[in-house]
Amino acid sequence: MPPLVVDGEASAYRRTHWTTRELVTIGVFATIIKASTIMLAYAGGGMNPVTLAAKNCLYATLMIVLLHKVPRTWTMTLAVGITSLISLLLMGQGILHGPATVVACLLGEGAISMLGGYGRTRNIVVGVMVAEIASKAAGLGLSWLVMREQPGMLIVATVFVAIGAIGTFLGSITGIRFMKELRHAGIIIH
Amino acid sequence: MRASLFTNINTETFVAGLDVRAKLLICIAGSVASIILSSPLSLGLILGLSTILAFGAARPGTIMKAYCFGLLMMFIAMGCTALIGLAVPSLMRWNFVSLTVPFLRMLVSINLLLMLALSTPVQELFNRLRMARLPTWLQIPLSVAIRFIPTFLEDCAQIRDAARLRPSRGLTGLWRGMVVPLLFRVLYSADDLAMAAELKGISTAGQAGGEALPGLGQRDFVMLTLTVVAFCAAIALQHFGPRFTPLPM
Repeated sequence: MPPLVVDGEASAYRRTHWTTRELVTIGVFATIIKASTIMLAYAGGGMNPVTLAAKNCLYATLMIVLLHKVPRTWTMTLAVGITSLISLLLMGQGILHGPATVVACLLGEGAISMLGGYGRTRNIVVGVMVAEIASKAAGLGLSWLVMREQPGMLIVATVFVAIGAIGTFLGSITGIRFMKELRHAGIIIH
Repeated sequence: MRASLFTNINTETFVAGLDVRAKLLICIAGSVASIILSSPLSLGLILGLSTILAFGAARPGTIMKAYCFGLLMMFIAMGCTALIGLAVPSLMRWNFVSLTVPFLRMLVSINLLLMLALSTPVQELFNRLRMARLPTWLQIPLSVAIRFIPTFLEDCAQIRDAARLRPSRGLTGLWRGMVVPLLFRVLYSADDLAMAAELKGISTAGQAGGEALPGLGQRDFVMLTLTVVAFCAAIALQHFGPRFTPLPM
C-alpha cells in the first residue's frame, strides 16, 4: 500500500486535484510520445514492420514510466487525450480514432483500479496492455469502416495491428526494465 | 521557437486566413463524410472540394510531394493486398467500386490533413488555445506539449550527434545511445519545467483572464456554410444519384 502522506502533502493516490508538476510531466510525456512515434514512423516509411513494432514498444515503455512518475487515476487518459489533441490540432489526424483511444484508456484505468491501483508495477503494465488492446480493436473497427468494400485490405491492417501488439508486449518488458533503472538512479522513488 | 512543425507553411493563402476552429470543423465534417459515404460519385465530390482546399493551403509543389508519398503508401498497401488475394482469392473483390472507394476516402483524409497542417502556424494555434480558457488540467499539459515539441526535436538531434561518437551499433546501440539518454533527459526536463512553471506562478488554481476569444469571421461562416451544403449534396448524390454496379476487372 503506498504512503498516504509524503513530505506533509497528501499522496497522489488520495489527492483529487492535479498539481502543476503532474500536469507539466503529462504534457512533456505526451510530446515525446507523439514526436518519437512520428519520427519512427517516418524513419521506417510507414509500412515497415520493424519500426512499427519499435513505435509501439516505445509508446508502451513511455506510458509505463509516465504512470510511475504520475501514479494516479486519469493520468493515462489525460496523456492520451493530449496526444490525440496534438494530432488533431497540428496534423488533422485521428478525428475519429482519438475519442476511441481515450475510451480504450478509460478501460485501462478501470483495469488498474480493479487490480488495486497504481502502487504496483504489475497493475500498471496490465492497465497499459488493456488500453493498447482496446485501442487496437477500435483502430481495426475504424479500418473496417474505411475499407469495408475491400475486406482483403483489412487483413493487411490486421497483420500490422498484430505486429504493433507484439511491439506493445515488448514495450511492457522494456518498461519494467526501465523502471528498475530509474529506481536505481533515484529518479522515481516508489 | 519555430513557427511551425512544417517548414513549408504558407500564411498568405486563402485557407490560412480562415480561423483554426473553422478549419477543424471542416476537417471533422470531411472525415465523417468520408466514413459514411460509399458512392464513388459522392466521394468524388468531397474529394474535389478537399483538393481545392489543400491546394489553397500551400504551394502546389508541397502538395504534390505529399501526394507522391501518399500514393506510394497506397501502392504498397495494394501490393500487399494483391499478394493476399493470390493466397486467398475469395477475400479479394476486383471491381471498380471496391478498388476505388477506399482510396477516395484516403485521398480525402490526406487533403484535409494537408489543409490543416500546412496553413496553421503553431503560434496561432497556441494563442487560440490560451484565449479559449480551457480548464487548467487541459490547458497546462496541452500548452507544454505544443511548446515542448521543438525543444524535444533539438534534444533528439544533440543526443543523436552524441550517439554517433559511440562505437555500439544496431538495436542495442540505439537503445543505449538514444532511447535511454533521451528518457533521462526528458524526465529531468519535466522536473525543470515544472519548477519553472511553479516559480512563475502558473498553478492549477486558475489563470488570470486574458484576451477573449474572437468570433468567427464572415469568411469562416461562408466556408462552413459551403461545407454543410457540400456534405448534404454528397449525401443526396449517394441516395438519389446513379448506382454503380460492380464491374468485373
